[in-house]
Amino acid sequence: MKKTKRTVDLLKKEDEKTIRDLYNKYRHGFLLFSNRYGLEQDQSLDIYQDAIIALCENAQKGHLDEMTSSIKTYLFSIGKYMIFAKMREKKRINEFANIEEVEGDWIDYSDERESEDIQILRKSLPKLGEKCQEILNLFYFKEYNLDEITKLMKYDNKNVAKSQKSRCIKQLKDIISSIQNE
Amino acid sequence: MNKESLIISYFENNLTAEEELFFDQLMKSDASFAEAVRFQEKTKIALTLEARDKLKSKLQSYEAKHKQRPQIKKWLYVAASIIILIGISMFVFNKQPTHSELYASYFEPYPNTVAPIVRGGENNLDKQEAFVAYENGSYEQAHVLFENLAKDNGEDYVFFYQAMSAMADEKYSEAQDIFTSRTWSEEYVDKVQWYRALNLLHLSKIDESKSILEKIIQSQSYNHKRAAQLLKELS
Repeated sequence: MKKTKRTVDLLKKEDEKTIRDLYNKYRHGFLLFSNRYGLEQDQSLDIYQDAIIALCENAQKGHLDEMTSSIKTYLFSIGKYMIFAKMREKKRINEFANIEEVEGDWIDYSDERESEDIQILRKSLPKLGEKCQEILNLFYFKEYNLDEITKLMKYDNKNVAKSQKSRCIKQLKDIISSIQNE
Repeated sequence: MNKESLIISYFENNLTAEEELFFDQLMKSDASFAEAVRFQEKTKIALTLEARDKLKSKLQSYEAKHKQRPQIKKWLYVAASIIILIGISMFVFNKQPTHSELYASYFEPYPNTVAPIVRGGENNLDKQEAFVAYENGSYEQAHVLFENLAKDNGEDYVFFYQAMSAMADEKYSEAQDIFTSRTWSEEYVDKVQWYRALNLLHLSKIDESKSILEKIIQSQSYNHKRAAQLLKELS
């Protein structure tokens, strides 16, 4: 358990060695596991990578803080969820499979990639100042609350963090308008 | 609570039931509020996709190293394989694998793709119980449970997993009866062919098994590559 907690803490810090070691450690086992479902190796690897991404993301969001299972169990169950989603997409799965009920703890936003709004946002975000990128990333992606952000970014109080965040959103909108008017 | 604080609590996943009601109301009645929420939701998606893509390319670079590795040490694998091959051929000179051994090396119970074992939420407890036994490898029990289920449920998956459990529980004749007792739907017909061919090996009906394998290879259906490999070993 202590080891799991240590790994989760390192994942929160986005420790590259931890991520690489995890990736290499369970890769072979996961390929054997997904092989049972008749997926091609490339598809299996793609899903494995997404499962590792989900693991890192959920660790960063604090979703794994109270986890009682091992990292491996978590990784394989989220991977299995993704395999089922893939099979359902290809209609190879029985319609009885009620995968919505599987605890996935993961929202797949891939369909949004094509959305024009999302593409403009992705073009605009890197044009923000570093501080703004950091605060928006913490709040929206890593799901820190304003109290945690205040502490982490050493703001005087929560109101400073709040107005800083709202200034950054406004700047983002301005950048988008200037791109659209180009 | 002002509107901005309400949006913040929404993203912090921190709305009280009352605030949630108010939030939903504003989403319908206040266009600029709804627009602000949607914009921030899209920002969240864009940031998430950005982070995922960054990590994905890092993982792909680890993967590239996996793919390089076999080439660097290829000669080592080749040398090792030759030594192992010589060793094996000296050891089992002239000894062909028996049909049961071939069966054992090819048979793997088909995974549960019907009812993922979930925490709660499943209202059909008998079905759930059967699949839990199946996933746990308690095939004797799974066999009985699927058999009971089959009495009131005529669907293919019940019979398919009953046959799988029978095979895994070494009840080959029963499995054979199930395979041949019905017309299988498109979803199962190919898998049934493969498992039937394997099952026939145990019933010493080698010619029948071979002719099914040939059909599988010809139609390139489920497991046709393994079928080709098995057929080669049988000849």
